[in-house]
Amino acid sequence: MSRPFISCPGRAFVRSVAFATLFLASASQASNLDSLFTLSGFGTLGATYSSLHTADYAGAAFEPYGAGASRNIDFADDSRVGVQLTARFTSQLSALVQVVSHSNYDNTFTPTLEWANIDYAFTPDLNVRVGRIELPTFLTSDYREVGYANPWVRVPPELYDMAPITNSDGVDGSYRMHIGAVTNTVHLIYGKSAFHAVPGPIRVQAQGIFGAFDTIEYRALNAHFGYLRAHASVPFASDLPVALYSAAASLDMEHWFVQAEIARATAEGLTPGYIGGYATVGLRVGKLTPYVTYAVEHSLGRRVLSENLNNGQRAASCGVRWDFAKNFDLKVQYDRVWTPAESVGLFMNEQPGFRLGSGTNVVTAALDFVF
Amino acid sequence: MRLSIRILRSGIAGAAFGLCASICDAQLVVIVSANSPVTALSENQVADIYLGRSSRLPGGTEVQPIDLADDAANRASFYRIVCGKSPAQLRSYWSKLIFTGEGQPPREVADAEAMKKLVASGTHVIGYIDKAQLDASVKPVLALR
Repeated sequence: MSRPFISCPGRAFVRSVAFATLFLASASQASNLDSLFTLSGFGTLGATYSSLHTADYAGAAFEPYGAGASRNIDFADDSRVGVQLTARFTSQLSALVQVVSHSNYDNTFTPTLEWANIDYAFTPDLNVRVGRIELPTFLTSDYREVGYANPWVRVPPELYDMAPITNSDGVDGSYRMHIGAVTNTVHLIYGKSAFHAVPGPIRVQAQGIFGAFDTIEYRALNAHFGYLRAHASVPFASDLPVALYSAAASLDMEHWFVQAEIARATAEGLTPGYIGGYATVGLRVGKLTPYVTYAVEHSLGRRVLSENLNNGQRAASCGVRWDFAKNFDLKVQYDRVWTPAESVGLFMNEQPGFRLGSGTNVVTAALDFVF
Repeated sequence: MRLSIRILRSGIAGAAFGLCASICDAQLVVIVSANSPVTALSENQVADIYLGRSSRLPGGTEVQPIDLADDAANRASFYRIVCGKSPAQLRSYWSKLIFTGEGQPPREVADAEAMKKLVASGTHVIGYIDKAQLDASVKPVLALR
């Protein structure tokens, strides 16, 4: 297939980072290849059913079809596989390339270059990266596609679809401080990104992405605060200001966990603006982890340039994770989804007979693995 | 299953040799090389080092944590006491760090003997063993119960 990885202006730049990585790798001594390179991977095989047959339930942004109208049981929406190569040239210099294959806007599983960056650590607590870098917009943005690292079959779309871009081409720096038993990490990022929103032909470019994030870790407690701004351009308008504020916390105990996030995101003229959030509570009973989640996306009702009928969505979910073997888990999740009157929510491919304000019941089974 | 067989087996061995103290009253200790200037570490410091949050000892020396094999009973106890996390929870924790390039889990060794040898060999390595396995090459810096 000659389809490009991703069509964006930063492509050549990212490619040169990837080549530089290979060059540095080949320039290093071949004798200690084992300790130089680490190959890791992750994946999810998911099957999704939605009881509403007049529209598709979309578990993630950028996917062209979902369960409901287009597919009775959808194997594409919640399935993905990723491979990552990490190279550690010296104790200070390392590089990372991650390629992910998931359902793309153009209905292919063509792998995309998710991340490719070179990392220089001035000290163990201060590092700078150049290349394609993950955007840590939300608490689990960095690993939203790694099902094994998350409690659910998918990150709650009511929050995560408010800012679905996962990477930015540019630079970032992070500084880790140890204050008593508390570890505090400040993270700044600057770059640009381009992606295709569904339907496919609409290409969105985000310029001048600037983000500031703070992560606090204290024993089982993890808190994350974020600010992100950018200017978005679409075929019918340019330089639309985008802003996002987020706050999140999780408490991961031996026998239970609780995790909650809230965010406010505005994309002037493109969306009515949203406040979204969720809370998840789970128990750990041997190899089983049952959990419940409540998630909301609430519209701020701001003016839009072209029709955007997503005026919010709510979902209540319950599920169970079963760690049945080392590096594998199996999850089953049920979601009850509602949309307010006059909202299409996150549904897509609406068929004749679809009414705004519809809801659905979603059942998903997912097998996650890491290697 | 494998774990219970192992416990059973060591129980039988312990009873046979009359060394029940080291098994029935197993106490883990965090160790550094006998030559290391470090004399004591807190549970929080050890947890941060083993969870990849900190890579230095008090005083600024870089430190490398060593783990027992994935199925070792003492490894599970160590993480339960120090971090309050189960083996499955830890694998999920590390997959978060691995897939963001933030770190790799500690290097593994086959057994306590290998652990002691590696820890004794350098001043920047820490490990954990059963208290009964202590000898002059390593010194305890934290007792876990």
